[in-house]
Amino acid sequence: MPPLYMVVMGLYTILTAFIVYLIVSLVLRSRNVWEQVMAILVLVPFAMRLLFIK
Amino acid sequence: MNSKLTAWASLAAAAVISGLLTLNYADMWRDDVIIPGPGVTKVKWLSEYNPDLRGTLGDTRVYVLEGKEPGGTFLVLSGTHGDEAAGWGTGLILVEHAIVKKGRVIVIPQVSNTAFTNNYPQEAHPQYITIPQSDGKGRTFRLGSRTGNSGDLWPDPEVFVQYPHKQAYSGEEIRNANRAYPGRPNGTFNESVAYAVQMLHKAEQVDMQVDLHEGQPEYPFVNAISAHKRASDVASFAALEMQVHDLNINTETSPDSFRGLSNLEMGDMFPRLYAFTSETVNPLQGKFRGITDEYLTVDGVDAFYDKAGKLGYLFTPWPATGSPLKQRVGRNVQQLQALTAALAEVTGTEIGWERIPSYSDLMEKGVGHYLNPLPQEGVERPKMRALPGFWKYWSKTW
Repeated sequence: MPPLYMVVMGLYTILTAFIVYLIVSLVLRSRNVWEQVMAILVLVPFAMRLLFIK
Repeated sequence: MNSKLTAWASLAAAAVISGLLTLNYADMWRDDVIIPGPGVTKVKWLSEYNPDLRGTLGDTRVYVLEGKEPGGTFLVLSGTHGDEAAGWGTGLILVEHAIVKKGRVIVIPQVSNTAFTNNYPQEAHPQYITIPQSDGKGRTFRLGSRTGNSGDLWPDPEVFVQYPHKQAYSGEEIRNANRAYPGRPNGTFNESVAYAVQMLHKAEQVDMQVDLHEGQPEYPFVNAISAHKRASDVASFAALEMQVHDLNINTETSPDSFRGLSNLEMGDMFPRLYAFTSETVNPLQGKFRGITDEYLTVDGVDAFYDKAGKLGYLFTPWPATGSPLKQRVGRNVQQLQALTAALAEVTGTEIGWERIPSYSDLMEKGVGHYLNPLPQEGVERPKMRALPGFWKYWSKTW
């Protein structure tokens, strides 16, 4: 059994990846330009978290 | 407008911004350029005392300055908190300029290297500061944070329970290297670093240790030295020595109820050791401060602190010149000399300096004068040697 914090970090990573996937798919489906542009503000911190908070 | 095109443009913009921020953030994972002076006789790594640190951002350089004559061993811990520039600045001056005549001085300029790999952007702290030199270029160093990299020490618990005394601290203190002593193998990231320091004590038979810190001007314990209870006599003698140079320093005995600090835990663990923590005044850390930039920590001048000083809100005299880095480092180098003199006076253990600047030298010439200039051809910053967080399992194999 890995340490508890590794399990928690793994779950957070999966959750973050899922959120990034949801936003990317919403951006690709959206017809509202401002919605697409504003998605940058959400994507950047989540992408950074996906890469570094592990 | 074609919504597919704008969608891909937005995603591309997000990717570019993330990439640029990554480069900016990851740049702090690279070591600073430190140019050892003629006094350094050996350069070691902290991982030599605890191999668990190898390939992680917890590993850091340990500089040994050995004198020609036998004597005691003095361990100088600096950079326990990355945003306390006078602490690590003093360590750098020892490494780059000082020469030891008698005994041995071991210097760790960046004890908590992980604390130098991130900073406090929400406090507007600069990532780097430049210490001016006479050639007009100066030397640039990372300005880290009080706590280690979240990647290495994540997640913060709601309550941090200190080992082994079970004292409860706020959760983020798990990332504070100065609550992790005495440390343990296979503990938290900081406990591994503290354990390496503990092993260094065992291996090198250290006689005296000082941990150099800074505090905000509205903090009661500044321009002060805290001694382990067995070391109070040495601290009192050192305070008298400081008076010779017209420098007031408050002394106190480290309370038994404040666990995890280097001087208390190492002092309790090693009966031969005289252990201290000292604090200078850093306006960058204070809450009254105004414009927050690299000049604030280097020049130490702030209009809001001028006002607070006049209103009597501070625990330190606040002259119009503020609290510049050269003054704070000057106090530290004078204090190191006072401590070695006091140790010899109280215990007979001698540690002698052949070359080390005084407080007045620092006030006259500044910190940059005692750091080696970069070579004319320039010097490349060291390459990345470790990665934080999960990625360290990869960098450990490098």
